[in-house]
Amino acid sequence: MKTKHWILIFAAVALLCAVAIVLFPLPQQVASAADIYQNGILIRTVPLGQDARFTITAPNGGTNTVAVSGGRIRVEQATCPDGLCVNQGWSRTEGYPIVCLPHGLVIQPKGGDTPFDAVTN
Amino acid sequence: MARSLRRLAALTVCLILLCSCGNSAPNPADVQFTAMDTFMHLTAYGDNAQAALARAQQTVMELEKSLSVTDPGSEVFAANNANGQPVSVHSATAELVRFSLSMSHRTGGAMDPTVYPLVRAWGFTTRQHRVPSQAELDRLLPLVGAEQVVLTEDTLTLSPGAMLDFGGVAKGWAGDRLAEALKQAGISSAILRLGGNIQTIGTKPDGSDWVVGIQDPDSENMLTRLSVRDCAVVTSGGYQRSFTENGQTYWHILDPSTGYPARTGLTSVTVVAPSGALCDALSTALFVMGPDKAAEHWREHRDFDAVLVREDGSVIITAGLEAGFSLMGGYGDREVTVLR
Repeated sequence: MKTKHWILIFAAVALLCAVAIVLFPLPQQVASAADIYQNGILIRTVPLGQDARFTITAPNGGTNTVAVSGGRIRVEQATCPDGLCVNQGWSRTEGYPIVCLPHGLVIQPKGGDTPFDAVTN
Repeated sequence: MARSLRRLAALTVCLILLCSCGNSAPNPADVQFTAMDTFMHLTAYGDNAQAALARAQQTVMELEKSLSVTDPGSEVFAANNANGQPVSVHSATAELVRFSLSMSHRTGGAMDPTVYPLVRAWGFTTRQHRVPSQAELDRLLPLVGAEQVVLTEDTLTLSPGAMLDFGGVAKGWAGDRLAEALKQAGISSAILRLGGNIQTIGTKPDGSDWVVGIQDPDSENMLTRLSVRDCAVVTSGGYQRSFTENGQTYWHILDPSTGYPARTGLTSVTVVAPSGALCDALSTALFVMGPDKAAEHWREHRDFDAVLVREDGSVIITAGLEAGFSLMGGYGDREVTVLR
């Protein structure tokens, strides 16, 4: 083929790429999984893609019932005195951990495009 | 002709390889622990970052111990229980007392480091919540106020019955101390999450701002997003600690002049400034002041920026945040006012 044909092909491909990047931006993915820590030790990693419900018992006997639904995770019910962990509601994003201090429980969503480096609340 | 085609091909291949290299960010050092009744998560980049963070954790634990109201070994405990006698204090404690008193003065008492007797009466210190009687508050109110505290270079004297508590500034203060120490250790990129108190050092390794979400006071969703660098971000809101009794909700941010939860039409206040301690103190003070006095305070000082969320869901932001501010999806209908 002649040189100018190659140049035209190259330009067309470049243009197509540019158009594709503009028209189809990468979808913002939310966290794909959550690490669950008990007193600083990773005890479980839960995928957020499938619904689940399970109860974690702390060494001090306290319990937290964790629910996963619709790509989000939360503490549904807990025996801690103030229920702050339950009040936190759902988390779907890295940067917003769910914490139950009395039971030493920390749920850290992770993965996906993380919209936040931190959450202030 | 053939040669320039080969050059073109070589250049194209190089460009493709460069673009496909992707964004290989350096691995961060990370530490998570509980201190000051809060979950903390520190992230730092650079050589020796892991060691620097381990020392940072140590610093926070030591600070917590020295500022504790309940630990008999702390200077604060000593001063609170000295029944009017002077207590000697280290310069670090004195510095924090001095800062707190200056903030009390600056905010006309809206932020007050001597509110502990009131906070305790409501049960917020033990999580055994109760509504104190007016008589009880009347008895405690005379113990509150900066005039109850006398600080010399190295001694601290409180009026009998008065008590100091640094719960309102401790995390911000810790953030500042940590940022100092990490910078001295050569760290130029870090984000410290002390509960909801955020402190950033520099930018992310790629030079972009840190993205901080502000939680909606009324739900678990993020209301707004800020892009920040080299500063602290702290939020105060009634929703953080509250209880409901007989249909009325009471929260832990009290008006020091009345002893009752401050009800000024705000649900949360977020302050952004280089100093975490300033952010911490002001977020409480502005919540107590209410939107009008808070705006006045900003115009008078202009050494911070803020996001105020009102009970009706509308948002007020100071001009300095306008550029890096955006409402999250689902909140596009919220009214936003920019203070200038």
